[in-house]
Amino acid sequence: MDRTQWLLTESQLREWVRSLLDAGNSVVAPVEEDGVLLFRPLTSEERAILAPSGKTRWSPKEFLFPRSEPLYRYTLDGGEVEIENPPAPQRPQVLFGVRSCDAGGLLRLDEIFLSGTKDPLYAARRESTTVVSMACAAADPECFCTAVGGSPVGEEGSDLQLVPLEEGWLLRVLTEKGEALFGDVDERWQDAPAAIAKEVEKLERRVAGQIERSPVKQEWSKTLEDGFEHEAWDRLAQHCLGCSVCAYVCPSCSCFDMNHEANAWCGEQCRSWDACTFAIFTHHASGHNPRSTHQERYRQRVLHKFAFKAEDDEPFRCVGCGRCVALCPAGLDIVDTVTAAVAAIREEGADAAR
Amino acid sequence: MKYLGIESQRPKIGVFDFTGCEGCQLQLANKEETLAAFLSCIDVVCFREISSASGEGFTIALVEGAISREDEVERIRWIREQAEVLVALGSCACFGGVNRLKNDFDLDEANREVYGDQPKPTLPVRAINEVVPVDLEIPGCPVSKAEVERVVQHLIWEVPFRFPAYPVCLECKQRYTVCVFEMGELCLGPITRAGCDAPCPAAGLGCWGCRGPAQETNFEEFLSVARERGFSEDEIVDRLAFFGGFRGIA
Amino acid sequence: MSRQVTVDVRHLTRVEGHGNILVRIKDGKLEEARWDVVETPRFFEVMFKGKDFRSVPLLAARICGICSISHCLTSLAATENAFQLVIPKTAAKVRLLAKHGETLQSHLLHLFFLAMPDFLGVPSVLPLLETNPKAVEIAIRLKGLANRLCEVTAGRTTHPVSLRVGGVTVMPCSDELLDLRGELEHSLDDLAATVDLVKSFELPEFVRETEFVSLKAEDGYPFFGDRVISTDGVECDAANYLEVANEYVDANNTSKWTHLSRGSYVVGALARFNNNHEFLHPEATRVAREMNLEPVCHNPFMCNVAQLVECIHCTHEAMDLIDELIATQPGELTAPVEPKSGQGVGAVEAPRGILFHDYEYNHEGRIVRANCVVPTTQNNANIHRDLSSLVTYFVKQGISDEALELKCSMLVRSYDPCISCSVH
Repeated sequence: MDRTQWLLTESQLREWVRSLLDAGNSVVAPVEEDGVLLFRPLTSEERAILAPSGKTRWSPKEFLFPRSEPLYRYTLDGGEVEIENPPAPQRPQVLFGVRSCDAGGLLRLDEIFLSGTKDPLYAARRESTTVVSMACAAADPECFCTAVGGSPVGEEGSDLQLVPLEEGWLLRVLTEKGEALFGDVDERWQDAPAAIAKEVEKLERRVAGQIERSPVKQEWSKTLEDGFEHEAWDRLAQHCLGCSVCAYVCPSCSCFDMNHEANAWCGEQCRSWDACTFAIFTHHASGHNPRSTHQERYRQRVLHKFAFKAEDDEPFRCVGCGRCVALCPAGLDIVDTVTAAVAAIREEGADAAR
Repeated sequence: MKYLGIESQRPKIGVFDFTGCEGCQLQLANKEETLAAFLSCIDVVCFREISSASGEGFTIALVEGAISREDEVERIRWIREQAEVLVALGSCACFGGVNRLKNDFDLDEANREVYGDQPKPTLPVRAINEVVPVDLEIPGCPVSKAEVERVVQHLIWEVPFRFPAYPVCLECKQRYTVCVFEMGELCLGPITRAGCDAPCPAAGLGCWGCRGPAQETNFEEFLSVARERGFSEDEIVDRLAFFGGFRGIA
Repeated sequence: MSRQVTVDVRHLTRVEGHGNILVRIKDGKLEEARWDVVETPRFFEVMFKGKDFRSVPLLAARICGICSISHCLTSLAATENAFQLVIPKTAAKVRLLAKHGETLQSHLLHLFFLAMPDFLGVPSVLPLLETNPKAVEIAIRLKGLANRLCEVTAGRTTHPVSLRVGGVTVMPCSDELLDLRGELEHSLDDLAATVDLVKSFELPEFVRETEFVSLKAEDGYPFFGDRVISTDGVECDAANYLEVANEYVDANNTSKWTHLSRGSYVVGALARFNNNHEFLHPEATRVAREMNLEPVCHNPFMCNVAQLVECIHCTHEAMDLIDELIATQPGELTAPVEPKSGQGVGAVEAPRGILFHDYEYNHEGRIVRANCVVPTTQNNANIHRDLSSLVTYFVKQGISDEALELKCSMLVRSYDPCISCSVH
């Protein structure tokens, strides 16, 4: 597909959002509520924050994988049972202004919910969703996408990409799905010259330069797995409070719990986000818990992001948004943890007993 | 009353109160959207606060309040003898609740201060389970009516039920509440059992631990996080003691 | 007539807490008529000592599960007075709205769940689910709305979470407020049906003259304030509440008793009405007239009617408050708080009457001394004295033993006593 790209002013960009709304899309974009930046379906193009300072508190993953959703509901009437399935998505959805790291996070979710047996609820929502990403104009203090193979202008997971320029935005189409979002392109839109790529590169260099974390290396995955039993984990994980904020803000965490909520007349099977740092996360029905200490649970979290790969060159499951670093009440930093774990394992040998 | 096509008995329920504010009993009359349905599946034979019917023969006793006088000791023993299932309702019944703060003071002096030269009989506050065996405990100040409903259904129809084992943090995250730690408030959320739907942090108030400890908390680390954030030892200890749920741990 | 009667009600039902009625008539002569509060004493005034000002309102709320919002608000007023704080206007409005939610919730709970069964000849509201479902539906709808009002304005219905020293922490969003306003307006029909229902109740025509004490209206029917008045002509600052209450200990009671100009006095809906009826919403005044509630009314059973009149007042005022909140920019919700050593008294009209909290703080913002005078404490002596008159009055009319017991019970219930409050 030929790459199509335009230069847009703020009013043109908002007009475009308006046209997406008018066309019946649910447009989900960063807005501010009570001083918190978060993704919400827009009621008006005016509410969208086009040049946010900082990232949204939560990643946009909940618009594909809700925090809590019923899988089915039923009502009992005497001996009769009536089952109701959740409704299919009513209208197409546009995730607008998604950061590159978060767009990458959506691909990690796809791996879980779409490979092999497809999750029908996720698949239906994914099918009707188009991702418009927004390259980063600046890195936040917690950002480390470049340390895990990402880029502030990364295109991974995006159907369309907006790049903030000194004046206005560059809008480029990356996929057919993205192209399909246009009816007739507004003829007043100005085509972007090929030389604009230089501007994008400049932006990438500038923002990447703001990120001071040293890279997490692909070969560390194996080191981490080898050092699974290393005593360093006791020390590295001792601070985890098990509050779950890391899993909740993470754009790629996909674990969920199933709960049956019922009374004598009706009920529902509900799936809700879970977090591997909770004590009962792997609590078996037998009463046995293979990860019975918070150290084991935190180790699981770190290794699931950076190790346990099917192929050596598989990307990390961490996309480097840094939310978990910024919001951990105990000040845990996953990059520091990985770096320290690898150093300890290498220094003391993988078998240093726990 | 049919459930899954099977006719079921309405269990005879008695509701009793001891030292406390009666707010948990009030919850039984709240949650109006399911009140009629809730009442239709139970047979309230004894509920002094709302009914003059004093039928005997309850099988399930819902007990609110802590024990703090000799006659209360006798009454709870009698209830224990009568009831097949004794459910402690609320933080006072489960832990002693705020009443337990009284135990920090000399009771004779307390009596003199309030009643002058006519002291009234009183005992150090105890939770129900410190006096008689308790079958189920529903903590909370006040209790969550939704949880009471689930427990009652569990008792009637053996509908599976488990108390949330995870901490209040999960419910804050679930409802988009910004962590109150970030706003400079002390919060027991990371170590407190969820199930309340975290109304306190949502109002910018930290968690006060009314539901007692969550399963397997990292208590030591919680203390050091609280200290690092500049909360004084007094403040942390006061908070942990407020509802009595952390005694034996803190 | 040499009649022998003993009424011995241990742990009166359909009241909040434990109290006993004992009436003994020997050879036709009244020997004894007692109302005794036997609830386990709780010692809150002692428990307050040493507590930080941030935990004080939370502890105060736990005095009572029914009127926790009032205890919290009174506590906040006492602390704010001690710290010489003025709360932002919006916060004051949100607090008043929460207060109305609680008054509605408490009054409706009393009218429908505690009082109504007596008038319909049933032991509780439960049989009415079958025999009078319409009344129960109205009760559930009205109470549900009152609870939602508390939830939106105070964070939850029992033991509020968003009322804080210096103001409030949550400003309800205008969508929620508009929804509530619509529901409140709609609820006027249910309240009108309640008026018809209460009109059908046979309220005993019993009168005993007494003194009625309440806050003084300054700019509207008073729920917050700092002047106290009585029907016997007393007027003073709320800060001098000790001179109003004159608390003393009775040997048979774990609640204290009080007196002012005469042996006992009354607080609550009837006292507020008697002292401040001209400040009621016109619609509430109309209903009062329609129900023959005229100041100064000395029939304690009319407290039920006064509660209903206040429900109508609060519903209208809540709608007006919502309109004001929506029309104005919220601005600040809390004033900066700087703990100071000193004393502060808070006075609030709780559903059952005037409530005082009095704290003395040290410079760290911890309490060194606390005193609370709660409504039911103030009513207990009057209930006790009413009983003798009531028994004499009805025995003269040749009432049956059983009916006498019911009348005594109904008398106590009319005061809607909050007994666990009274033994704080």
